[in-house]
Amino acid sequence: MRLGGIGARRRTGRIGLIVGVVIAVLMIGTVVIGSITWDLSPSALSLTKKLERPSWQHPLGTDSFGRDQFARLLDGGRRSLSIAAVILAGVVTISLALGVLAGLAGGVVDSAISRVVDVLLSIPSTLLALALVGVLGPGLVSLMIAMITSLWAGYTRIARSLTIAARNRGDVLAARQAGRGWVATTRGHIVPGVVSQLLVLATLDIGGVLAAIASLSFLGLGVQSPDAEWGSMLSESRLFLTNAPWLLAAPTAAIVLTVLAANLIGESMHDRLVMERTR
Amino acid sequence: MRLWRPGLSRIVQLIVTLWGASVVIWSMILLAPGDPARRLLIARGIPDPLAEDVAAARRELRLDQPVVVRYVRWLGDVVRGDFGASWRTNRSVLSEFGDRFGATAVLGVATMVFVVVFTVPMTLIAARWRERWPDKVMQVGSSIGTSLPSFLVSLVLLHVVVLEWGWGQVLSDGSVGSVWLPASALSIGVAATWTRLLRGGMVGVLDTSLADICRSRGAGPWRIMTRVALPNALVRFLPFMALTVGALVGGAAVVESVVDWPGMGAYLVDAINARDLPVIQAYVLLATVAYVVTANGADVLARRLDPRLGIER
Repeated sequence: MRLGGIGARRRTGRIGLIVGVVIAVLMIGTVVIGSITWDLSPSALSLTKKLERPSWQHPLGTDSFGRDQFARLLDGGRRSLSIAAVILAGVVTISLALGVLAGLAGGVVDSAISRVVDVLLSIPSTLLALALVGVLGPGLVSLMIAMITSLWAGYTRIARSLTIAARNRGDVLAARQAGRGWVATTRGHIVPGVVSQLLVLATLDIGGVLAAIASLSFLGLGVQSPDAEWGSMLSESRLFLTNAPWLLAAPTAAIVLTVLAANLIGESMHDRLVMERTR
Repeated sequence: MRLWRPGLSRIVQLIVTLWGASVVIWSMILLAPGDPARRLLIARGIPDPLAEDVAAARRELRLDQPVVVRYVRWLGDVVRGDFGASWRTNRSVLSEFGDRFGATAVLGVATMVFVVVFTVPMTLIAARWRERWPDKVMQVGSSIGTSLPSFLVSLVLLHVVVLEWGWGQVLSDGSVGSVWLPASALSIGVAATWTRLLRGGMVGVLDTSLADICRSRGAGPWRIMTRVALPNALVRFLPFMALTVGALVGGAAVVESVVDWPGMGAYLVDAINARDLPVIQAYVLLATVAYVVTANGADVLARRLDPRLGIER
């Protein structure tokens, strides 16, 4: 009974993974191929072509400035994905360094890092990001700083506990007794395990980060016009959405599908990891 | 055996954490680019201030004093309940919040009602027919639900349901009649997460011998679900409920601002756009206190209800 349950759960997990990967491949493929082949500019204004319906020339129509919506969608997708990648790479790097340091050094260093982590985790993270963007001023750099600041603490806590768990593992002790220094042992035996777990966490968070980038840009706090981003495209065309529903449909579908694909992939990777750990 | 009690050490730790958060939140003012005195005057609508105005603003903000002194005096005021005055209106931040608290409270209560009304029956059905189609439908639904950013849901509801189909009213007046839109936007993500966690918890209880014993004594599936699985899962689920408070204080700001809900969240977004720092600081600080207190309260309550939780740690 229980075995059957796990088997069935795995199958649904695999279906989720397949759906997620298919959506992700289609989206990334569209963005990559579209960026190469679609030669309309995402920022070329045309006052004679305002708010055009979808057509062969403009498959997703044009916005209130006469810009090609498909080109902007491609440009926005590239931008969102690279911002999310920079944010998560920053988070993983910072938390790896601080978490491993805290876990190995112990003592004052550990308690100092852990206290800062505790304090940051006590501030609701979406709100911290929102407030930091507000204080630093709207813009791409503020957005990235704010998101990294609101995310690194949770990752650091996990990196620290993984490091402490690994410190007395057999292979680490053996490497130490064989005469390898702490630096080499850390690099060869502790960091790889921590990194792989942090990367799984980061995959799990891609969807949330993409949603946050879109939300903040929609509020006018992230990506600034004329640069395209799915959230800021929606806020730019807000006044025209009733007459031009295609301006609402395309960015909405893009955001939901991307976040869904990222969540499905992240969840199934996480499930697999949990299952390996419990086995 | 003595029950676990919230001891002095826990309260001390809580105060230390909140103090640390106050340092972080206050320090944001140091990160703001540009001269705070000029920012204050710009927020008040004076873009090109005279030199003496700037000097007066500097004194008002105590910029002539050392950083530590400024922080300590700010903290002293905050502890006494004085969060300063909004840079835009010069009114006290607390009375600005007071005007808008009602609308946010209506939204918060409506959201929680939506979440509970949806989550509990859905989870019971999913766990009752686990691995069968109701459970699978619910899992797919919760995957989709967690992938819908709340700003997007509120935008689509506003433009499709209200403007296209003509249901409901465009104007959000903060009343119970128009709360369904922002409340559904906020509750979808929360409900999706809750359903998933609660289902996992209930399935975990159903896998224990406790459920087998109940079954062998003749309890029907629904009785086991409602009397055994749900209460046991809820206890462990309490701390996650507190996490929701943290998610909602940020999400409410975004959703309120999208639909122009006259609450504290939309006011925060306005303050962010105008760089009204005292308002931003007060909102984040109050939200942090609310979050930390609920998280600790939920933890204490969970351990009271299930003393085993205290021993495991």
